[in-house]
Amino acid sequence: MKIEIKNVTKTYPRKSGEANFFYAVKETSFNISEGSLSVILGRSGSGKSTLLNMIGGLLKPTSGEILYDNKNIFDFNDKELSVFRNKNIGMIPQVQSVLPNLTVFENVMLPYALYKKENTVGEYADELLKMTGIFDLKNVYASDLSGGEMRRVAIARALINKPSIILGDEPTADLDEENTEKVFEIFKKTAQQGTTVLLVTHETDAKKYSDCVYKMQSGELSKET
Amino acid sequence: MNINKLPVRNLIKKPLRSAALIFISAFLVISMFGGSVIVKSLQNGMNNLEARLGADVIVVPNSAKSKTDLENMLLQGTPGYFYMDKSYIDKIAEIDGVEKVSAQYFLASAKAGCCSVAVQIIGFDPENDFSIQPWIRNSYKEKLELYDVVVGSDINSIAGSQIKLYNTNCKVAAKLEKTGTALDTAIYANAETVKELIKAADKQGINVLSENNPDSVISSVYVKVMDGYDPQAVTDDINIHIRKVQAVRTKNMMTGISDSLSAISSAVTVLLIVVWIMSLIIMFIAFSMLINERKKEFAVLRIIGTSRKMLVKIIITESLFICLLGGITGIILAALIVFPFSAVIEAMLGLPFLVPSFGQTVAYMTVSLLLSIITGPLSAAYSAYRLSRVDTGLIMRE
Ligand SMILES: Nc1ncnc2c1ncn2[C@@H]1O[C@H](COP(=O)(O)OP(=O)(O)OP(=O)(O)O)[C@@H](O)[C@H]1O
Ligand SMILES: [Mg+2]
Repeated sequence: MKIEIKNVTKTYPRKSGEANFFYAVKETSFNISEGSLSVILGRSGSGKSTLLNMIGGLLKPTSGEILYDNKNIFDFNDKELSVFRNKNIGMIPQVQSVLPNLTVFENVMLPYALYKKENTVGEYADELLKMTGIFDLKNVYASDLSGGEMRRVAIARALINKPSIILGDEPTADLDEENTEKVFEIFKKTAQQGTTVLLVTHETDAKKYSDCVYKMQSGELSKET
Repeated sequence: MNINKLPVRNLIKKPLRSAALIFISAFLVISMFGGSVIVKSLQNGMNNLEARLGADVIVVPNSAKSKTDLENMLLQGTPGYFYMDKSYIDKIAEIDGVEKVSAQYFLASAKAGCCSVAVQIIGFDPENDFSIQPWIRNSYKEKLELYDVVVGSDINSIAGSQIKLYNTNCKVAAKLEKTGTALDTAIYANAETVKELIKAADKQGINVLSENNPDSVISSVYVKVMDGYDPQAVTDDINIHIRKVQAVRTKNMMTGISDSLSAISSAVTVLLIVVWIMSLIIMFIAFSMLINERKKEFAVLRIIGTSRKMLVKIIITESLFICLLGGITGIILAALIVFPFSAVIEAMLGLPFLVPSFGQTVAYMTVSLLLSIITGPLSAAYSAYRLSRVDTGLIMRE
């Protein structure tokens, strides 16, 4: 799927100062090629999450368009956008995002169960749990997990519907070195199978897995060469 | 995994929170359903008593106690008796506007013999009675002979059995249908029988009549007023023209209670409305706090592709389960309180109490349940809607 970010900006109101708003993301345009693994680096508060959320259709840009196969997803109505997100976008939010009242397995299955009645991906879910190293926790309630375990549940959940794009906002935040490497291997493999992967990360090691590196600086995105 | 499981799972995994909400909605239903059944039962009881007596005016002797005794007898079932000369029957019949008159003969049974407590014995004149006989005829078509009695539905004897009143064997000819009033605790017989019982009491040394001969006394006279005459005017006429008696309008006698009854009714109604609004507010606050506390959870659902509509549906389903569980619990509890203890409630209030018919009860049940069932979703819907309008990306940051 062809993904195009076109003249996108995001401003937030500012309480004090000369102007009454500021740019969290300054005008940005770039294309993400299918099956590539890109990373966005940048300091805290530079606008990385803001940009990622807009690409994921979770935050409406102040101006500009997010095009998937030449269609602006913000022109969709809520139902269309929801279904589109469910099918095509695997999002790993920066904050913890498991549902505490469901088991690990149920959390991972949830995006699939949302629009489908019969269960045909149970085995794939098991496979994802094994890949991320939390298969032993399959039937544990998510409320009882450690931070790193929750993070890996979110990663497996993002993959369950075999989306067109994975958007990871610091997906390795709570993980040790070994698991961080494991997760990047998974993303690398996923990209090789044709899924576009876009990650926000602090891991400079990530560069060695990536096809493309961006740098975010005070809301301005630039490509690192 | 099925998305429909989610609301149930959310309830089960937070038992304390769910129980508290279920309790609120159960409380709502108990007060709605219990309250309306009690009010209706009281109204039924009053109407029934008025219809049962069938008299517009009741005339009793002018002694200070006889009027209160009559009221206590008819409304609370406290046995009592008083007597006046039978010549009053004719005097009352001569008053302008009086259509029918019939005399009653009252006697209180001694404790021993039939019942654990003293009961009221009411005698009537078979020739001219228009109050008691039509009622008896519903259960017993034959003529009542000497020493035949008919018992109210709350008297613990079955038709065909014998009871002993003042050492006299009487046959229970029939048992009357329930009225929900004090009339249910009385025993009925014709005038001859009651006179014999008065004599029997006398022989036992229980002197109910100080000097008179039982054959020449009556206790009260029920009066039916002709169409076109004002019962109040007839009442006044009797009070002015006939000495040593007191005429009481049946309606007025009931008004004392009718007043307190309508006061109770409106108080309960106001209370029900207040309770409902309070529950709505409590539910509203509870659900908005709950949804606010869990908004990250809901944002996660949005992230994985739940539409606004589905999200609102999930939240409303959860609140619906709570109110349904609470509602059913409440109905069962209210029914367990009101129906088995209706006699206790009657005694406590000192008012006639007739539980509404099955159909009516079901109607109250349905309305109470519906009110409670809409309370939760109504409270949840607003918060759910407001939440679903915010950009998911913004919710996740908070
Ligand atoms: N809803 C909002 N209202 C006001 N300001 C906001 C809002 N969301 C983000 N910002 C501001 O926009 C800027 C960019 O935020 P963003 O979360 O995108 O940063 P980030 O690069 O992801 O930082 P981090 O690495 O710490 O996650 C920050 O200065 C932040 O304070
Ligand atoms: Mg961020």
